[in-house]
Parts: sequence; C-alpha cells; structure tokens
Amino acid sequence: MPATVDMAHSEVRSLVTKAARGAGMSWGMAEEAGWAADWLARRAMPAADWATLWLGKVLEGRANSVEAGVLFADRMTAGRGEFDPFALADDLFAPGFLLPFLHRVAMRHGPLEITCTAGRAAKVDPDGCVTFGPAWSDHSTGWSVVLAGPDLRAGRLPVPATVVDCLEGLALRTTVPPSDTSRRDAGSATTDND
Amino acid sequence: MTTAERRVLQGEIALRDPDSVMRLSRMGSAHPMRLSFLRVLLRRLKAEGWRFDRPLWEVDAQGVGRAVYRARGPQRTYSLVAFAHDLPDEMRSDRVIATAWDATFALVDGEPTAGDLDRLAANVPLQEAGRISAKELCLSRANRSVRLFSHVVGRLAEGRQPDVAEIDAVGYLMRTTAVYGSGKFGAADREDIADRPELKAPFQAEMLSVWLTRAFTVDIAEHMARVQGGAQAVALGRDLRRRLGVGNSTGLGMAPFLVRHPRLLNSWMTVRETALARVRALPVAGSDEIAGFVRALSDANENASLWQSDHPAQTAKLGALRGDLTLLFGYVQQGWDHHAPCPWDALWRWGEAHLSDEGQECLVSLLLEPHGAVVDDLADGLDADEAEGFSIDASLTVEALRAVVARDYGWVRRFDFDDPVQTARFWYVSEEKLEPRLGSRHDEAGQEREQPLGIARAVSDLMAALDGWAGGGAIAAFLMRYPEHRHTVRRVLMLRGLAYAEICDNVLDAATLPIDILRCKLAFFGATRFDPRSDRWVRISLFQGQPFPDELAD
Repeated sequence: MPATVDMAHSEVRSLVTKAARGAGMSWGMAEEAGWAADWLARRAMPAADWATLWLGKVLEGRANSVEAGVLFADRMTAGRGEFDPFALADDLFAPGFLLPFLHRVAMRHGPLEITCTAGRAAKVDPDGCVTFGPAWSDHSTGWSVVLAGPDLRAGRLPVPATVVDCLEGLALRTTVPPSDTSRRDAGSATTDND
Repeated sequence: MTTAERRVLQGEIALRDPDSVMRLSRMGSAHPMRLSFLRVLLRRLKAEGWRFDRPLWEVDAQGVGRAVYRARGPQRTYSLVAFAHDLPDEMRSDRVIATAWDATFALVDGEPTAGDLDRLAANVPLQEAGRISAKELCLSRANRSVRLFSHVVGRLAEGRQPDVAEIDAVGYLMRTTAVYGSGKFGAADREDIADRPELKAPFQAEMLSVWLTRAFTVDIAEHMARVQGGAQAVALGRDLRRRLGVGNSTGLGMAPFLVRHPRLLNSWMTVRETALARVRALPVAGSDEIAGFVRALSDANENASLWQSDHPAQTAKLGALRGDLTLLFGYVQQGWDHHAPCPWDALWRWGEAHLSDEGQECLVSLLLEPHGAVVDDLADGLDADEAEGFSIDASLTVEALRAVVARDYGWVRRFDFDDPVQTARFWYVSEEKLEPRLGSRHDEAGQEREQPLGIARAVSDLMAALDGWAGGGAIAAFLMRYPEHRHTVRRVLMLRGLAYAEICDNVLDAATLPIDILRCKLAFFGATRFDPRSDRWVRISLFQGQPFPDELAD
C-alpha cells in the first residue's frame, strides 16, 4: 500500500462507521461517527486520522468526542429554543469530531464557539464554516485555520496508510471468520465455466 | 411519496397498497419496464444525439491488450477503458474470490490521457486490490461464457454465422461479475456527479459502462475470429448481435442495498406505482397504444419461452408466468372491451383477479410499455436525497415517535420474534472476502456480528422499549437510556410517511429467499432472464435486444 490512500468521502464514511461498530459502539452511534467523518472530510480535515485517536479511547472504555457530540446535539435540539451552555467532559481526544455536532446545533441556534480560559478554541457557523482559535489543541501539529463554506468541495482526503490499516483492523471486527458452510453457501462448490 | 400523497387519486386510481407491493413474494416477481434504469439511459442517449466511437484498439493475437470506447454527449464525454486478458479456464470464477478475469474495465469521466491509461493498466486488472481515482466513475470486470464465446468465434472464423439456438441458450458472450461505482475503490463520489442530468437517475454510469462493455464483447469475439480465420472471417450479423446482452452474475452483495437505501427504494417504487396509476386512469385506449401493448405482450411471450432456469422456485414462477401470459393473450383477444371507459384499468382489474403475482407484475410492465408519453417524465423522480433527515430531531416527543411507529410499521406486528424460525437467519459480512452473507443463527457462529438489516425485528424491539417507557418528553432522554435503538429511531423518522421505503417482510425468517430482493433490484436495472443458481445468487442479462452504440440513432 502506498504511504497515503486518496479516499472518496463515501469510503471514509463507510470505513469509520464500520470501525466504530468494530470498536464496540452501537450501530446508531457508529452511523453518527461515519456521518461526522464525512462532514470533516468534506472540509479537508483529517477525519480518518482523528478517528483512530478517539476510537482508541473507545476501546479503553473512555469518553469520546462522538458520543459527547451526540449527547450535546440531542440535548440542544430537544430544548425549547433556549441555548444552554454545555460543559464538555475533559480529555476528549480528537475534539475535531465535536465540530459536526456543533454545526447541527448551530443550524438551530446560530454560531457557536468552544471557549476555555485560554480563549476561543473553535467557532462553527450555521453555514458549516469552521474557524479555529488559538486555544484549539489536539495531538496533531502544523494545523492551519480552515474556512469552509457549505458548498466548498475539498479534494480527495489523503489518509496515511497506517491509519487505513488501523481503521480496517477495527472494521474487521464487524465481520465473521470463514467457515466451510459460509464458503459453500456463497457458491464455492459451483463452476463458473458455462 | 408520502402515505398522504399516495392516497391522492391519479384520476380515480389510487396507488397500490405498499403492504402488498412491498412483500418479498411480490418484489420477487418484478419485471423490467420502460422506466428501468437501462431504458432511461438509452432513451436519453438517443434523444440527445450522443455519438460513439472506439478511438483505441490495441489487442494482440492472443486477445490481450486494451481498448477505449468513447461516448460523446452534448456537454460531456465518457470513455470505457477495457483491458483484455488471456485467462486460463481454471482461474475463471465469478465469485469475489477471483483474482483474474477475461476482461476488466473502468469508465472514465472524459477522455483518458496516455498517463491515465498506464495508471489504469496498473490498477484496473487488479480490481478490488487496485485503486482508481476521482476521474473514474466505475470499475468492473467480466468473464466469458466459454461455450458461446468459443462457438461464436469458431463460426465467424469459418465465415459462417453462429447458431441462433446456441446464442439464445446463453444470451451473452461475457458476464460482468461486479460493477463498482459511487466512491468504491477511490472512484468519484456519487455526489460529485449526481447533478449531471445524464447521471441523475440511479446507476446511469454503471449502465453506460455495461452497455459499452456489450460492444466490447462482440468486438473481441470478432477480433479473435479474424485471428483464427484470416480473410475468410466474417462479422457477426446484426440480427444475431441484437440477441446478445451482457450477462451478470450477482450474489448476496446486492441484497442489503435495498434495505440500506430505503429512500431510494421508495423513489423507485413510487415512480413505478405512479406510472401504473396514470395508465389505469386513462379514459380511453388509443389504437397505437393497443397495438404497442399487443407487441409488448408478444415479446413477453417470446421472452418467457426463451427464459430458462433450473432453480425450483424460479421454474415454478416461470410456469406460472407462461400460463398467465396465455390467459392474458386470450383475454385481450376475446374478453377485453377496449372501448369501455378506462379500459386499461379494466384490464388491470381483470389481471388482479385472474393472474398470479408473476403475471400481475408482468402486466405492470406491459401496461407501461406503450405509454411513454404518459409515464416517461416520471424517470426524473427515480433518485432521492438520502442524507435528508439523518440528524435525529431530538425535540420530537416520545409520544410522537410512538405515533409514527404505529402508523408506518403496523405490518411488523405480523411477526413473532420469539419464534426461532422467524429469526433463523442473520446477515453478516465475511471476514475472508468482505462480502455480505446470510448465516443460520442457530447453527453457525457469528451472530454477535450481525448486520443491522433485520428491520422488522429492530422495529419490534423499539416498539417494546417504547411500550415500557413511562416518561413522556423528548426522545433525547429515550435515546440516552436506550442508545441501542438510535439506529432504528433514525430510520423510522427518516422514512416518516414514505409508503414504499420498507420491505414489509421479515428478512430473518427461515423461509426468506434473498433472490426475491435481488430480483426486485435487478428488474429496476432492466435485467432480463433472471436465473437463480441457488437461493443466494443469480445470473441475468442486461441490454439483450437493445440497440448497440452504432445502431442507437437508427
């Protein structure tokens, strides 16, 4: 496999969904993870790389960005129109995966931002634009501020082969090992030379 | 199509009841029709005056090499890049385990450069083990029908035409065993091309790829005949050529699609049912339309006589279809009063009373056939926005969710999931080949890795959880307590009121025949000669009887 694989957005979504399920999430939550990865990939954010970070925490049974994002979005969209400040749990790895869910809420309540004592970490507009602030942090380096409009079509997503391997390893946990019955039922005993 | 809209009469004709149309037994009797995807494609190509040529043919005496087929439309060009291989018989397999094929293909957006051709040559023959780019729309491969290919090449090399009975017995020189698109293996995402008018309807790129592949299958046979026969070799006669389609070998991989794409399924079914209702609502039957119907009936009779299958279920269906067509022919000639008000509706009602599911579904296709002016515009509604409604509206109340489930999923109560027979199957993905398979829950390992395709059971479980939920309020709290139902709640809400989105059956039941799901999807593709080789995989033919690229303008 080459050092990076240019993945279609639908491939990223499918792979992250399966990897999340393989890491032990419910199908419904795994779908949210896949959707969020797609949202990030469309904005040229390293969705697959980030996914490996928080999925690692899922395997350890720790809180993760997707479940926190879903919880936040459900609470905010279930309210009576008032926006309630929401304290995120500490130690959420790959917090970029919160952004799609912030956007879901921003479409209802207007622009949102993540702040902390160090200032603004990120701002998400109702149109899907994301602006990172000086307080943004994760384990990556060399980030730039990204302005992404809703119609912005990012190019292919270069994903390190090691990341693909990691996600595919988790995705394999949704599959069933081979058996003679399985092979036979799939047609292994028939000839195709008609 | 919402339930409310379905109730809106088309003239005085309501659309058919989804609880009948969406049963597997009925879906498994579906027939191709003029709104099938390959017919939609060919009509557009013809109407817009697309031009076709073969700018590259570099194939050697062993039948190895490459070719390019070009389709040029008013705004865009697409090119099928074909790689011909010399495949030993022992390596020929239609299943996903195969690693080599008689021919491999990629449909390119635009015209391939020399660099593109080299890049594709390094990847396309590898299929799943290779990568294509956003410049490609489809990746596919095909294997020869050894017997017919050999017969056709041998006869043409001798300067003779092939035996028509041999051609009809098989119906194709090559069969595709997978046609990948929509981002698979690096291809362009569907959303990148979905706004192009020529690709808006479902699977148009895939259909174009297969149609051009059909031309390649004849070209490679004629090429090999010239290699063998030299100057005495002849080309395949036009009439015989028309009898050839492209075969397709399809396994379970296609079955989950209809469960996973319910909004799309709703669009397809709604289009077909609306078309039927429009025809039934016509106050009179014109002479041209009656003549067209009779021609279509005659063609259906011929097709049924040539349609072969050894599968017991399909053999029974074929027997029923042949009997139905005989009955229908007799009624049309002697019993049907085509001067009566709404004569097409009268004919349909007679069919409902006298024909089997097979015959009735065939009658749907026959009724649509002569009515292009009435129904063809419906093809614009075959696609669907599948992202709509993905985000759960957590402000919805539990009471409202209960009401939606009760209104749209009442059919689920037909099943008893405490009965082991009704949960006997489970759908899974094979670790070995990453393909969907169907296991026996009580005999095979792996059910803990079951795919979420048992919608009826999932909704039944959701109903039980909702029954036991004492609190009211927004569903956010319910989802926090029951995260395992998030998948089902999303689905229920996304499909709110879409009458034809769900297969109203239990796909986990021991008696479920996956080939019923396959047949429904393949009928929408436009496939003919549906021939199950087991309960789980089938062979069909595409484009049989349809024009070739050099005939389309005729």
